[in-house]
Amino acid sequence: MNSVLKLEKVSLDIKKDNILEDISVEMETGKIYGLIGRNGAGKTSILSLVASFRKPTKGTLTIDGVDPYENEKLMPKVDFLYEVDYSDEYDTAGKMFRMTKRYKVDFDMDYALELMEGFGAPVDKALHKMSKGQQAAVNAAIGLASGSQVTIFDEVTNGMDAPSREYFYRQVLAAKEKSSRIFILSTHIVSEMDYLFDEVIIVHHGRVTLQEPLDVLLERGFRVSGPEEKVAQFTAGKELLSTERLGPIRSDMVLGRLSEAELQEIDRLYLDISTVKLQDLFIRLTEDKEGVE
Amino acid sequence: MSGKSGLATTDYSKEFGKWSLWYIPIFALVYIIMNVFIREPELNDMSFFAMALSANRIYMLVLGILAAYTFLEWSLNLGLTRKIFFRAMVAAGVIVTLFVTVVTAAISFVFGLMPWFGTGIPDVPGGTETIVHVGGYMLSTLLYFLGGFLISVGFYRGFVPGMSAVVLNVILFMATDVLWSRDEGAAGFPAIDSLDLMTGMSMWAVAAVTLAVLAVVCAALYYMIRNIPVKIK
Repeated sequence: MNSVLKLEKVSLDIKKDNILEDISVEMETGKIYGLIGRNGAGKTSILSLVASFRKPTKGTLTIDGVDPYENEKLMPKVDFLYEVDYSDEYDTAGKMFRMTKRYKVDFDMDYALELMEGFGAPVDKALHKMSKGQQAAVNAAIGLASGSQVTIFDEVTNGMDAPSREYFYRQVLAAKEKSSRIFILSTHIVSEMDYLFDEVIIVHHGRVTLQEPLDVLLERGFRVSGPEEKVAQFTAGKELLSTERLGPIRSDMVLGRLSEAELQEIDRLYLDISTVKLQDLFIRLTEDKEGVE
Repeated sequence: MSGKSGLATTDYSKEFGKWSLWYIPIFALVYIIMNVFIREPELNDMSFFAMALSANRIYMLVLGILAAYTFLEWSLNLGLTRKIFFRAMVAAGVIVTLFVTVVTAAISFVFGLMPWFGTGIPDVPGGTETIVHVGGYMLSTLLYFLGGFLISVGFYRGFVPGMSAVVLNVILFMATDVLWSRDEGAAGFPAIDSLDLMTGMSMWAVAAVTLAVLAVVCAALYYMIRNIPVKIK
């Protein structure tokens, strides 16, 4: 079943602080959304609202037109996984899985155990005795195996080693293919995850500054390389994200979309053109200076 | 009670039950040691049940204080609503109050069969009044649990709500203690003495007032829980 998660003009105040302001986002099943933003931008606050951990001060949040807050049927269909301090947790991963299965009928126990094996994490060891990476694997396994309509991973790979992170990314893609769900991956380290995202949502200072499909977003900038003088001539007056030099070769990262005339000029100057990385765009788009929209 | 409420009640009760199975034997050990090493007629005549009365209330207060911090985030992570959390926690409070009272009474009975321990219990009339009397003790114990729960929820929301809950509890605990107090303390222990009636009020009336106080605490609890924000540690 296709579902739509919608936040319309949502604001969140905590005490006197305005944490989120006028957020509007729409997500649909079958897609992986990358929620990115700098530390303290408001990513976790948005996710807390989606998971009904908090209630918006203003605006509406709905799943298929229904507010999930305190809704007995909808709340179990949203899974929110985040970094948890398990230093006082004496239960094993196996017990946590069994407990999850008690409350979430769609939880796939066999898949969860298979995932733990894939992560190389034990099922019968108390969580407080596990390494940070193994604890993160437990969270990842719960989220992937839950089968929930909306599955949120907030910095869930923190503590995982590179092979485990790579395994997690592959499993997210596999889970997306297997069942129709909304995946939200929140991170401030985008370089590894960008290929997973169907759409990117950038949060900055408590506002959603953009929501775009990844390919459209990446067209917001380009990299042009070639001889120093020719590149400098082409990028003069354009908004540069960065400049790199290797001998006589210069490579400029430019913010902006290429027009037909500019493409012809690139051909005429024999310059090379390529796409920019999401991480570079993210850094530029969340810099605190005016004129970037 | 919906299926989820039932599950949550079972899980909270099991967890509290496990903690109680640590508390009760430790308290029994303390009782044995005190009876072995302290030669005080008043103490030696007292049954385990009589001695555990006030201790159980404090124990239930502590359980209540732990309730929100231990189970709220856990419950929402499993997809439970705050309403289910509230209902299941109150139900678990009732179950654990009964459990602790029954187990304490059973141990007291076994101790009473041995020559080394006392069998003294609060001097209460027989018949239905005794039932009300024991019921009153249990209601009072439940009030301590709900009071602790209220403090827990209060501090979870912030310092001011937490302190307000503490003040409210002090007033409610004092009020119910006065209601259940006796003119002359036969046993000499406030917890036991507090089981008796305040002069001029029937036991049924006091029980009804205590039930009303419990209802007020439940209402305050639900008011504070229904929109409580869950903080991510």
